[in-house]
Amino acid sequence: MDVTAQLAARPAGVRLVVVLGWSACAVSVLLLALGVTLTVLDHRSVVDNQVALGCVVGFGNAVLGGFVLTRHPGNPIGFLFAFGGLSRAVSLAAGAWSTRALETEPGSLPGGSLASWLQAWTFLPGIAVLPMFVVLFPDGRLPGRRWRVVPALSGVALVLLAVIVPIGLWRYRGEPLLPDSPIPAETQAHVVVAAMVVGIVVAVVGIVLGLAALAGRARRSAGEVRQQVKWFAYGAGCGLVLNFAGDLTGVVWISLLGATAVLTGIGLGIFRYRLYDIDRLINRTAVYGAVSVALVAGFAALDVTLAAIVGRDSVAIAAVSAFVVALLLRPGRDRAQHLVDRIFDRRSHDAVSIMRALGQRVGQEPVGPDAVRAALRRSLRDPSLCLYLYLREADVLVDGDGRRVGDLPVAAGQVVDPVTQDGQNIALLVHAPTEPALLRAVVRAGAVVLEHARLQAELLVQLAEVRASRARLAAAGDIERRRIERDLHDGAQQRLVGLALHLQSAKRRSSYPAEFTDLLTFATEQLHAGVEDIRALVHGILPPALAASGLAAALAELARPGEVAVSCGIPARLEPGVEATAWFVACEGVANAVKHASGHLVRVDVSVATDRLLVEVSDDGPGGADADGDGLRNLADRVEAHGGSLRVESPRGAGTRLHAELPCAS
Amino acid sequence: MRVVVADDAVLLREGLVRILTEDGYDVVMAVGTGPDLVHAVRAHSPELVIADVRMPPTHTDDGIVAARQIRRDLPQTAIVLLSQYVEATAAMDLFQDSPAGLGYLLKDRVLQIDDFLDAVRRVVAGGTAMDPAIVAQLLGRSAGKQDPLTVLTERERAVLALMAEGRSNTGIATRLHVGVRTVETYINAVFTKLALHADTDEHRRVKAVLTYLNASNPHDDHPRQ
Repeated sequence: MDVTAQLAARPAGVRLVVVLGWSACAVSVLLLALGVTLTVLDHRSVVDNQVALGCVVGFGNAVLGGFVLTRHPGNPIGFLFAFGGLSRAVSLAAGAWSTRALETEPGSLPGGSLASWLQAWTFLPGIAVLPMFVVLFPDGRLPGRRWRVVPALSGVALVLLAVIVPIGLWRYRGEPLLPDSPIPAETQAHVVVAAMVVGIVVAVVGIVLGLAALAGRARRSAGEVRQQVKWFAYGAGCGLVLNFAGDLTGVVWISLLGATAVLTGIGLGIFRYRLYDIDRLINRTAVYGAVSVALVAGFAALDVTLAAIVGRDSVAIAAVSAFVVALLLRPGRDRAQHLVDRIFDRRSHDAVSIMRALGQRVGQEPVGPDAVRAALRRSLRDPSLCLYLYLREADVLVDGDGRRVGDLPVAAGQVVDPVTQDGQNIALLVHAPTEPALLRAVVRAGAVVLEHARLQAELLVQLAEVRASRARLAAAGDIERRRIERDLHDGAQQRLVGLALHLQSAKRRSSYPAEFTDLLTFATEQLHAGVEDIRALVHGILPPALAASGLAAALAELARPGEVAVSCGIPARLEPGVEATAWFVACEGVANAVKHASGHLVRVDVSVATDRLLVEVSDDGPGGADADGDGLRNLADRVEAHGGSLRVESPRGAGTRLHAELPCAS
Repeated sequence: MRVVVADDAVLLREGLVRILTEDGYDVVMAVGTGPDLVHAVRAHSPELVIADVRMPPTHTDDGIVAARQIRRDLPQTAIVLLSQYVEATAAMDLFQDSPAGLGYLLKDRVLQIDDFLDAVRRVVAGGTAMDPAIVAQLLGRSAGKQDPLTVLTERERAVLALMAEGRSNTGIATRLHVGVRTVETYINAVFTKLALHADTDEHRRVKAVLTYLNASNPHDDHPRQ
């Protein structure tokens, strides 16, 4: 059986922005690939020509744009990522295209002059939106109204760099705008240079202001958000400085380092502090990407090797290769997942490990609902987490001890997440808000233990029901006994005593013949015996003193000097069922002792220890009582029906000790 | 001597009326419930009341409740309580209050008519009658603990039991087939060993003995926790 527990699915559908985001990403990646290919074909260095920088920035932005838009379709940061990526990719591809079309292989490609124009300005809009990116990071909202100036600066830069500059450059398209060509000053209109300089200055001012806003955010935020912002601020700050240094010195490596710093800052935010909640998405992509590549490579290698060994190519060889590769799929995937988890996602990995470790303990040792809750608390680092479980048949919610839960206790700041399995709710988690992806991973890893906990809770509930019904049966029996006792006492016994009294009275008048007097005497004696019989019978059923005056009074009646010693330190009254049960233990114990250990002193000790009533009947007789005999077994059943326990110690030759413990609220 | 009898079992009640009447008592009223008993006593001011412990309306200790009321209304009334079972606890506070003119007998005891009438006479005379079975229980109750009664000899215990039953020195002497002087010696020994104040007044003596015995009653023993 494949147990797949998961969090209840959120309402989902593929949204337009997601399609757009990934389309932009795909276009960017294709353009980057085109640019790199053309650069390599031209035997030019990918580093010196800023191709590597473009690739790092373009690819990083484009992919992040796709991921962020998938998780947070409403967050402008996703668009900005996608926009920045596209801007870089178009510029890079256009640069490589125009260089090949106009310089290295003239005439080999069409549209060289258009490409040269594009490459000259398309990277600029990416720079123009940077202030916006910095100020909106990470939630896509301005940290305050006064920061509206930053998007405004972005807008100004965008107009200058993406409208004025392209228009001004249009008439210079062609060789003067090629990336590596020296630009004679007179070929550039002053207005274009001015627009470009002003635009970049405005953007830089915007970025600096944005960084100030970011610093404010870092100060105000707490926990993971603070970490996310902090790492991004470090990265962006370093990136800004390094980029300028690179541009000033003309050393591309330094600029590359700057871009890497920015991306590293964002990457740390994403993977260590689950920024945008896309770590699992990337994680999965990495795992399946790696596994796919490995499998294809493995298949190819195996196919070729086998073909070489066998000496010919055949369908059989392909089939064997496919089979071997298929065998490796599952373990390969697991290993890759493990590796990726460990590298990228320490926290999630640790959380999942805790649940898996607990799963391995199931079957080896008792793993109750409490243990599962403790593991969930540790793995989600949420000491306030509570676990409630559904009983499948009754659709009733219970806690870890099997108690029914009416109103779900949810503290302020807590959220409720149902856990489903095969479409059925099996549990509810009440916990502090956490990353949905982490929660899903933990729940998935804990599927078996959660189901195990649910079954245990179900068992507890059933056990409690059986216990309650047993106690009810015992109580009903006690009530019936009381009724019989009263009927015998108030009816039969009184009548017999009354009759005997009349006969005695008649006899005292004594003017009867001798044989008649004898008959009266005989009848009186028989009535006497009848009364005694009823007394003994009633006592065995339930002594009236028990109902009237409580256990201590009833036990006192068992005492007989020299034979039965009773010591009793208990409150006057206890719950009737407990009194009756304790009475039967004492009574049966004494009766047995008198029968099997006659001549020895029987001690009855009854006491209360916190919430337990202890009843002990002991003698120093011959011992050897059979604890599984009918009498003692019935007694044990009675005691257990009241949630207690009965122990019989009767080693041969060393007396008998009957020890009962009953729960009692005193 | 005017008597009120209270018992809800008609046959038994009529039997009691019959033997009491035959013995020369004037049974002015026979009732079947606790409240009726109290009313009858108020109406007739009898010298003697013989009442069942368990009667309507509650079928628990209605006789004792009525007896308490009668002791308050007409303290000089002699009362003999009849109980179906050996269970002294319920009536014990009545005795500790004052055992004079009070009897507590098991119902079966009435079948030994002479013993019964003898006990009734003792109570009417202002004495005490405690059923031997109940005294035995009081004595046995304390047997499990560190029991001061263990210092008594068998004979002394027997004397103690008879004292608790409310018997006079002469009565004890007759029972034990010994001389009255011997009984007095035993009584002194018992009182000394139990560190009780020896009293020549029999009522106070019964009270002291019953109080002593009841002190080892488990009901007064609060659980140690």
